[in-house]
Amino acid sequence: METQIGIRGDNFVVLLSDKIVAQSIVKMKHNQDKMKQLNKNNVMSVTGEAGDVDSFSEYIEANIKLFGLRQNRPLTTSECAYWTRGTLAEALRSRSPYNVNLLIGGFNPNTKKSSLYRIDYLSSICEVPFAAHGYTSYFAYSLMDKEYRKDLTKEEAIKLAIRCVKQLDHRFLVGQPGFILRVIDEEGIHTYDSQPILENGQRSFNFVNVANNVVVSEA
Amino acid sequence: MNDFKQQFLGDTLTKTLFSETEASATTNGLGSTGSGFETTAHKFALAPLQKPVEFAKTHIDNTSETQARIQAAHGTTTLAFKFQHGVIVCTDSRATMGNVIASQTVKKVIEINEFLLGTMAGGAADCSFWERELGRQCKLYALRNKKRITVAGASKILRNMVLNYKGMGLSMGTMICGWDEDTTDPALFYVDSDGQRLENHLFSVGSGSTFAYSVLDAGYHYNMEVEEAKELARRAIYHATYRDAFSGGYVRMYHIKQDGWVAFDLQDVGELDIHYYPERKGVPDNQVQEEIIRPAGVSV
Amino acid sequence: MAYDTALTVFSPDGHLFQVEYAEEAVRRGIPVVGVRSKKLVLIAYGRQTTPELQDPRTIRKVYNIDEHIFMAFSGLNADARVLSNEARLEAQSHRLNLDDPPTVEMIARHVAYTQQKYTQSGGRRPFGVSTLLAGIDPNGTPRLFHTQPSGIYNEWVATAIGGKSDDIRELLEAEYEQVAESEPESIEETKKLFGELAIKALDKGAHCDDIGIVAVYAQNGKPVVEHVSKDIIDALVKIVEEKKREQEEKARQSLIL
Repeated sequence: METQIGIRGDNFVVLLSDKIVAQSIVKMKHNQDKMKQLNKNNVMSVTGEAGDVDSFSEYIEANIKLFGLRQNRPLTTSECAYWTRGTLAEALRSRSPYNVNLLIGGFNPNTKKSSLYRIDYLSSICEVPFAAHGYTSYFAYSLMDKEYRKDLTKEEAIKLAIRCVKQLDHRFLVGQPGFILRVIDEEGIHTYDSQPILENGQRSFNFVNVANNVVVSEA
Repeated sequence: MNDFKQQFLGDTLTKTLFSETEASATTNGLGSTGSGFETTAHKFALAPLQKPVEFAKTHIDNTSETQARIQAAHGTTTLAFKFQHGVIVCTDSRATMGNVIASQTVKKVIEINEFLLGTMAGGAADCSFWERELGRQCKLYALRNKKRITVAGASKILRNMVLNYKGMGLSMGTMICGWDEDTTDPALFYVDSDGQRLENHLFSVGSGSTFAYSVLDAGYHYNMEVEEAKELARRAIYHATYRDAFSGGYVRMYHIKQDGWVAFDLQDVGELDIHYYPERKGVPDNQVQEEIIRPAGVSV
Repeated sequence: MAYDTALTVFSPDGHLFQVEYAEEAVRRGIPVVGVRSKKLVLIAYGRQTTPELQDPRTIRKVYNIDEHIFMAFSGLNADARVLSNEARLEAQSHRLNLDDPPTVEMIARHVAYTQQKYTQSGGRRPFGVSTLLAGIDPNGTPRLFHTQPSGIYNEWVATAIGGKSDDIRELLEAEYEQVAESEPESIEETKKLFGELAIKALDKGAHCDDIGIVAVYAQNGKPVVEHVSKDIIDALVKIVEEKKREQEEKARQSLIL
């Protein structure tokens, strides 16, 4: 029931996830940020079983921070992704596996390239141009297959993510009222929050940049 | 340090990752930390089998979905919300065992210390045991560090403790509420036996929570005065007890202020019914109707 | 009985010689000065002259422990690296387990705790380092702690470790109060004022050609650990030297008169 989408361009990555925490039939929280900022250039979005999501992602976050402190340099995206996969794989073969699905996206300031990794709860890892998890993938993948280009600009990628959200809203049984979208590029991490209802009461799929209130929309 | 991780992260991720050789030399087998908190928390013996989790699953049931030997008592309405003057914590007082009401005077608010309250939903034993253990750890933290533990810290300790027993039959849904030192805002966290821990301004937990949410969501706003907040909480619990068979008894209410919590008198939900709907005189509304239309001469 | 070889054995007059030797190792270290103001903590240290063909960037005198804490040391380089790793792990563990950043005292206590452990069990030797832990507490207060090989830790407003630390502390005792009273509003100015004091104090210990200064303060409610730029340090060194020359000149003239 949870949504997460990732789209990679040449020098940026767009990650999107919903904000709902549900327990059986009740929404316990409407504004949960399901992404972890691992360091200056890398973001991990996590969904999965209650409890596992937090304990796993917090553990990963703490260790990646520790690594940064010890080595005096931030981890690259591929290092974050492969180490996370390894940790997940090790747990999978233990008494207490973690049931989590991940997207890790980031920008490498040395090579000036971005990358996006898709990791599922069985610890498979894949470097991909775009990705989704769960029911979302049934709706979003065809749209991304059709619209994705290697030379996608940042604006086009954000719009593509918004189109996916719009399609989910239209066809998917489970309504998701809000989303968080993050763009990771050379300047760092930019956070956008969805604006589901406009001031005039109309339904919208606009996103607002949390730092400077700039609105982005599909149009 | 290794023991530390083992305690709080489960058996698998015991390694200090990225450790350099000298780091692991100092971290291996040296036990607890100097500045942290108690790491020798309770360890319960597990079933002496290959898969103790599977054993627990088939013998303890906290969902009413399987016929296990131990049926955890559950069925409750508890709620808590933050507002400008603190946190209101409110619960019913009924305990059920199957279709029997075991008690109408249960205390579902656990006084962890002067500044922290926890609520009880799910297994009463699990909630009271772990929140008592939490109280011990909070006191130790305060003694060691000359300051109170934050609500965020306390709720995380509780989360980490129950995470060690994930899948082994614990049943606990609790709200940890308080007001941190030197802050202007109260704090409220939800912690359950799945290891879920959430921060929000409003929570309700238990079988009656859906009913309570409907009343709360309609009337809630942050800038309430104390009386308005208390009335909202009372109303939410009352309506939950009216519709949920597993909730009832008395409304128990606490208010957490910046300098600690205060408790209020119990209110019988039956009396509240008369208070809110005097025309019913404590009789369910469909029966009030019946009385009026009953033909003369028919004995009851 | 050889009281100075077996670590866990007291001498008849109550000494643990190995621990005292470790303290001697610290006394032979390069001096490090730490000063605290109302807004910031600042640490000044002298850099060893490196052999011409060595890369000076691989020499670390200051370790970052967390976003809001750093550590400087005097004594054995290699031992300090182990302690810093231990402190970093503790800082992240604290964040992971309590959802809050640790206070500087918690980290200082943990470092001291680690040092103490190595004075009480067999098959180990004490850490040959004293550390200064400087940082901003989560509530915004600057803190400065000193830990010793024996496991003692104390809080200070201004102190020094390493060679000639007694002389340096004497100077700080004489001058700190006056400087602290005239603490300016801006962080930039405070940094310079206390930087000057620290450099002057450091100069009292040993003349250093190359000085490093690290400051930690809160900016917009967030901690900043700043390695003060070489330009500012050079300017401060010049001021200190000039004042020193002036004073010597005055002293000479008063002698002549």
